[in-house]
Amino acid sequence: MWFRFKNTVNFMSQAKLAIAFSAFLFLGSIGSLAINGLQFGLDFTGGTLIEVGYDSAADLPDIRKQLEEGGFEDAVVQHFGTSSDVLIRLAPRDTVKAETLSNQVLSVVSTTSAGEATMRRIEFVGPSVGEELKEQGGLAMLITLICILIYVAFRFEWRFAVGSVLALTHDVVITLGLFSILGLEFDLTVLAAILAVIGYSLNDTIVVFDRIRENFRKLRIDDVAEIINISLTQTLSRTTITSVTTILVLLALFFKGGALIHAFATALLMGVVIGTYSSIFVASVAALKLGVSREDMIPTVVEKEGADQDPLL
Amino acid sequence: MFANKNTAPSSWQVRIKRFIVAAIVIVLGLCATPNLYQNKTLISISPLNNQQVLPSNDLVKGLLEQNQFNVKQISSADNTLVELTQQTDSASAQQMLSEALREQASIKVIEQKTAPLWLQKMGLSPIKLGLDLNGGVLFVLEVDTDKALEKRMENLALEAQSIRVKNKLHGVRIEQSTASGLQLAATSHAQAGLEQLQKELIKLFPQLMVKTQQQGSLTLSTLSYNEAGLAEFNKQTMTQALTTLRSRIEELGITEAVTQRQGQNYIRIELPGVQDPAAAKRIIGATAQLSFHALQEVGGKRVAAEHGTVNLNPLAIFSGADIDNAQAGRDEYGKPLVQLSLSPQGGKKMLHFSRDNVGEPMATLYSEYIADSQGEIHESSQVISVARIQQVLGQRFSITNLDSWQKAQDLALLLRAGSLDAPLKIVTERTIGPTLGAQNISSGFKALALGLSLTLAFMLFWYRKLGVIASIALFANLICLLGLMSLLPGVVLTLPGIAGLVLTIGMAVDTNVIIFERIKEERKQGSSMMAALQRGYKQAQSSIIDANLTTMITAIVLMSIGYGPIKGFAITLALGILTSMFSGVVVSAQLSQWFYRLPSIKPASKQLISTAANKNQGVQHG
Repeated sequence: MWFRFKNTVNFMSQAKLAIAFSAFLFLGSIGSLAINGLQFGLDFTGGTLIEVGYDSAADLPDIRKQLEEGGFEDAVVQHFGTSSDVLIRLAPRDTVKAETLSNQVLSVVSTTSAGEATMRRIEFVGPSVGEELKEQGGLAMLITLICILIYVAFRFEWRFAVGSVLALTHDVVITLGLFSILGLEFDLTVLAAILAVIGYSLNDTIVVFDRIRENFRKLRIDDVAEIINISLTQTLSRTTITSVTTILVLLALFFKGGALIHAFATALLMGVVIGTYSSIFVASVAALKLGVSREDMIPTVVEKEGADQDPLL
Repeated sequence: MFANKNTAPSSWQVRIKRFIVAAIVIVLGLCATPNLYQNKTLISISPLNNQQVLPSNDLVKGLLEQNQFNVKQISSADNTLVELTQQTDSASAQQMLSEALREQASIKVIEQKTAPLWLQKMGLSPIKLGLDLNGGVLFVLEVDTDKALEKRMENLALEAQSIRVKNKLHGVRIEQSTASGLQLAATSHAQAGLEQLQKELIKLFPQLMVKTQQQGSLTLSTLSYNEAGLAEFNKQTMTQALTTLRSRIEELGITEAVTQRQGQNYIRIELPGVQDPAAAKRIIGATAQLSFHALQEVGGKRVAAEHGTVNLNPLAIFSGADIDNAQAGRDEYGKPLVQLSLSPQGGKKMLHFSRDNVGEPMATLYSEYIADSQGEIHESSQVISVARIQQVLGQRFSITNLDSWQKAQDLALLLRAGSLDAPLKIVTERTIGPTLGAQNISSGFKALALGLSLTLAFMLFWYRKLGVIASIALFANLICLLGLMSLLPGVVLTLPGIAGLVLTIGMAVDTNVIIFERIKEERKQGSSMMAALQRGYKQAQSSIIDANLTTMITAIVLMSIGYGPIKGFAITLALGILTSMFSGVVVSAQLSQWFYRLPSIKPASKQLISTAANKNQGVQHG
């Protein structure tokens, strides 16, 4: 098997390269977020969105022209999922009530060369809601990271806690950065996906840390880097297999889950790849550089792993 | 885990454990079975009251077919039940029928369970589907509690005014009312009057607080809510808004609606199956209030009426809160009217007033909140009728001379459903068409099936015999998860929820992967399969618990901020963590024990296998 290594892989020798690579991605993401920003979806910007389905492939320029004639110059028209589905977006406006707006648009685009339009969904979000959501979303991520920092510090050690939170911040920022660079739409499902990425990546990191702690207690080796290398090698096949199964189901979601789930699956796919990388290179390297040592890990009384838990069989 | 070092479990202990595990899976599996029988959407037609007969089946069928609704089945007993070929059309058919049969029957869309009776008797039901899967309309309304407070203070000022006049409290002035409080002032010799006024007001509104300060010879006092009082007021306003909205929706004939508070001052309303939100919006968003006033020659409140303006006594005789029931009807000339019946209290107020004022005019004031082009909310009032009081009125009377039947019906509905003190604003509205909902379900489940088969195929290919255990554990996981989701009230399956389900499958095998990799390591060091199994399960435990607990943290945070679809995702994720820990560790441990025919009672020597070899395991293994 290609990832069954006979010998311990010297991951930590690549620490410098990993730091450079991560720093490059991280700064690039921050740069893109600062310059391009995120393309926020309706949930965050507010406005009106109308999805209509036609019997056959819809002619977008034609629909645009019709909308322009109907007085909706600012309408953004695009395909959604398939060529017969069309998404129309309108910025929030002051003068027209939202309820009448969607009806007006529907009547304008109801008959085109592609046949009659059927309403698939209409969404209206008031502008104040979006602002609140952005705040809440940012707050949620912060709270999650702080909770994790506390939990890991309590359960392991503060260097591990800082390492894992660094890795998670790394994952979140780079996933956001990719969304910004690729100009993908950032909606509420993507926010959920990013929080799920935090969960996933942390899961990976914790399994590695758990092995490092175990090896600190078990092995009589003084070289911290070597212990981390051994632990990473031991958990490597688990890390890879879990990533493979997760990526498999995400691919299923990406291809079969429908257009509404697309952005969600994309964010998770990116996040899982980055999260897998970061649990090996970012979290462990950070813990190493912060100077974890055997002394931090050895409890006064050597306890047996799992001895305090109830037997499950 | 497999066995404690000191006390090896006896065979009956093992059996009991195995029994408990099997029982949990079976019970949750039973809870999941109703999902095989999806609810049917039916239209129910029932007579408005005892005297009326049900419209005949042929009439109903004819009406439906005229309007291009295909009837699949129609049956009638106490109520007529109609099943349409296209169940997603039920809501629009209900609207059409309500319009056509409004004089004789009330028409509702109901959900009927199709599961076998014994399952239903156990109180088990399928997972509720969210709007994005079912189709329907979602509203999020903002309740303007500040405006309600302003209004309350205005009322307070009016009450103060009337108390002052009644008790002839000279020297007491009512300065101004704002949302933050009502200001009173008194000269030094009117101190007693001020105190009396304060006392009377606090009797009416017990949560008010008085702050007094001296300014020269003037005593200034401010009546306002303290923090607790304000919180209580906001809570009352929200509760009132919720109850009122619930009964309005009930009046509309939507039985499966979800109305709940969201955050500080938002209300979320989900109307599954509804396709045309216009009618629902007219009723839900309305803040109409009705109050009855005496007219004044001079002063008072000037309000627009049909011809010019009239001056009203601003303090109402009684208001919408005193109305018990309201029905739309027509007078002898066919003009629409609303018949009111008042609560005993309202009736008493009306009796007193009309007895003293026979021959005097009384105005019916209709007020509602309207948002202008800037989104600012203003109260707009209009006198809809001025009538001379012909006789002493009691609990029952009518408001006549309304413009249209529609208006009479809406007004009656709004009055029946109770009053709203706070203006409402629709801040979010989503309509999901039935075709999109159906498509979301099918693509969601396609992804689920594909994800599940890919994972199973991979696990079987990779782990062979252990893979079989993982696969069975994965199925157990899915069954338990579906069972839990059906069992817990308030869990709604949404499209992101299905995504969470799919993601759970991918991540649930992780528990098994951690264990299996440990087992492989043990095997590589020459442990027997049995010993490797024991050690594998035992050593993996702390990793599994830590890893899952931390994921749980994110799921809980997600749950606390998200609403609707996102909450659905978070709940599936959180429940998925629980079930995958159970199936990955407990179920698969039982399975492996059974698979590899582990003896139930293990000789003590077997417990010690490879403890020594363990010491430098990592290096050897490398």
